[in-house]
Amino acid sequence: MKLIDILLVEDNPDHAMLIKKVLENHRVANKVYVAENGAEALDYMYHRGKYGNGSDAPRPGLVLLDIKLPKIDGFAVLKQLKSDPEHRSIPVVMLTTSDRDEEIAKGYAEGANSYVTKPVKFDEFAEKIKSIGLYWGLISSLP
Amino acid sequence: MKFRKPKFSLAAKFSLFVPLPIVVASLALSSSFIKHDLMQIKAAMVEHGKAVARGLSYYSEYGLLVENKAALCGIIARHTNEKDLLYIVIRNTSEKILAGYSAELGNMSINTITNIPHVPKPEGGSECRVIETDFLYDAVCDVVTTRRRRNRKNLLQFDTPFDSAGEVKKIGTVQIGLSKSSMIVSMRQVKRDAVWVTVGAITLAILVTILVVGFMVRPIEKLAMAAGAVSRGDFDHPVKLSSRDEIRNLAESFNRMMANLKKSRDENEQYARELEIKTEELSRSNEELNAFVYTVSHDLKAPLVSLQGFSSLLTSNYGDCLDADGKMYVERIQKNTERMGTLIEDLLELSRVGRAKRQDEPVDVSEVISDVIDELAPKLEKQGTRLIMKDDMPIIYCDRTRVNQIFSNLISNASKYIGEYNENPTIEMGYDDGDDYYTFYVRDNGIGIDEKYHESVFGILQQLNEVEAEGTGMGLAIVKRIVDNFGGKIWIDSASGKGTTMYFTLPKTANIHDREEAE
Repeated sequence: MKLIDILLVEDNPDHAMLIKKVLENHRVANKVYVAENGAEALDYMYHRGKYGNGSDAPRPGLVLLDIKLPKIDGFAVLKQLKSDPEHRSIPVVMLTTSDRDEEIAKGYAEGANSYVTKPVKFDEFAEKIKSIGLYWGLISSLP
Repeated sequence: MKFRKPKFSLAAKFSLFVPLPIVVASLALSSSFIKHDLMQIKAAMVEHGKAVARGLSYYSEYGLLVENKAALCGIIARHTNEKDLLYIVIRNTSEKILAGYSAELGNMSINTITNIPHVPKPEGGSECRVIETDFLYDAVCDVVTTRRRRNRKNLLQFDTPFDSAGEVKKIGTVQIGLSKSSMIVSMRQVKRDAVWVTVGAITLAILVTILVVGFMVRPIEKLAMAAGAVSRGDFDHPVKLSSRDEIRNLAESFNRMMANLKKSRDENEQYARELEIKTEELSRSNEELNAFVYTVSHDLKAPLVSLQGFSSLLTSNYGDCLDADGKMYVERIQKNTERMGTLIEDLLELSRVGRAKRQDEPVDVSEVISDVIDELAPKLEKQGTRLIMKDDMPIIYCDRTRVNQIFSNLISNASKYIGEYNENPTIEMGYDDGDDYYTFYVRDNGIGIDEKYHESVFGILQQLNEVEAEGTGMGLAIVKRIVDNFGGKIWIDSASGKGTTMYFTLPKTANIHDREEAE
């Protein structure tokens, strides 16, 4: 199975590090790229700013998108990606700290493919991230 | 309320009943007056008739004795101008008319007196009698003479008078007729006068009554209008009366009452406004508190995730580098972060209960309880707790998730405090069917709760110190919040060592079938 590249959009560096670690530990992803905010995530996707030459920003097989982000929030990023025919096919999984129904509903309405809440128990979280990565990795590697 | 015109007004009643005795009295008076007057008139007629007849008979004695018609005619002629006189007839004892007079015919010769109109046939009998016919009074009086016998023995004794008792002999009759026409006229006059006086008196009585009653009733009507206005909430128009009687006193009391009412209404309105403001403030600060709790717990959660994650990575990736103590310390870190996580979750849940929208549906309570028991099964089985549920738990229209939360918290609490040395641990679930509410209960035979804690168990972060039990102590706070939100009540019946029964009510807001039909 060909491992996919994952774009992780997460403003909390600790969480970013943990998620990256989990994904790497379980060999879910080929490479995990981290964007610290919504603006950076869009720069990555559209090869702007520091991702200008495009070589350090390969097209990801999965986007893990935190909802609460500085500058441009997760919903805006989600909306942009899902309204762009070029990126529409990339699966987006929302990351939230709460399981507020209205947030999740809004995410799905904007075209998110799934969501993960960040539980306090790390093992549980690791397990979820792992399965999400494997699932979407498999889906996107299908012909 | 609109001021209604009374069907039988006070004025009408007074006007009707007050003159009634006056009317009756004046009717009775006038009728007795008429009767009395008529009798007097009649009696006067009779007396008049008798007097005339007697007078005639007195003067006719000589004429009859000698049967001198001319003398008798002369006597009659002297009486023809008597009032109301219709006729005079003088007869001898053999009923032969010797002289006569008729007002219609004038003085008549004997020959012509054969048929005088209206003359009834004289009747014999007493000395003087009067009969009454439709038109006239007929008086007949005997004419008598006294023949005195002389005492023969004392014929020569001049000083001896005649015997005192003489022989009385009837020598004829005098009959007269008196016309009733003038009497009838005057009787009519009397009646008419009496009727006019009566009618006048009655009219006057009624008019005066109406006038007086009007004066008396108008203030009462004013009062009634004012009372009507008060009942519509108009306190601004006091009653003004010019009279100085009891009604004025009543009106003054009424005005004072109205002023007091107005004052207390204003006060009530003021209180209501203040209460509204306070309620608004309270609900706003409640919302703020909810939002605050949500934000705080949310923000607390992020570092906790990191703490957990890194300590977990520490164990898994560098566990080999740590000695037993080091491993134990990391484990303590993990346990405590886990506990903090649960606390934060519960706080979030508490704020969510306050904010979340109800999603009502028909909920089979027995199903909910079964779900809860399934969830708690491992622990309950380990405890050996017996579970008893009433057979016919109702189907209620409510939010399933919340009902589940209620029972989950109550049953797990019951199991938590069932007591370590309980030989027959039992938890019962049931309900009572009220008019507007279902009262559910969860009863255990555990360690019980002392009465002094009964209020505080529903507070946030209240955990009884006596038992080292797992959980955050927020379960009952969450349950109370849910029950409060649903318009129910929750209370506790327990004593230390006597087990605990938690009661809570849920309103039957509407019949399930009605709701289903409505949808």
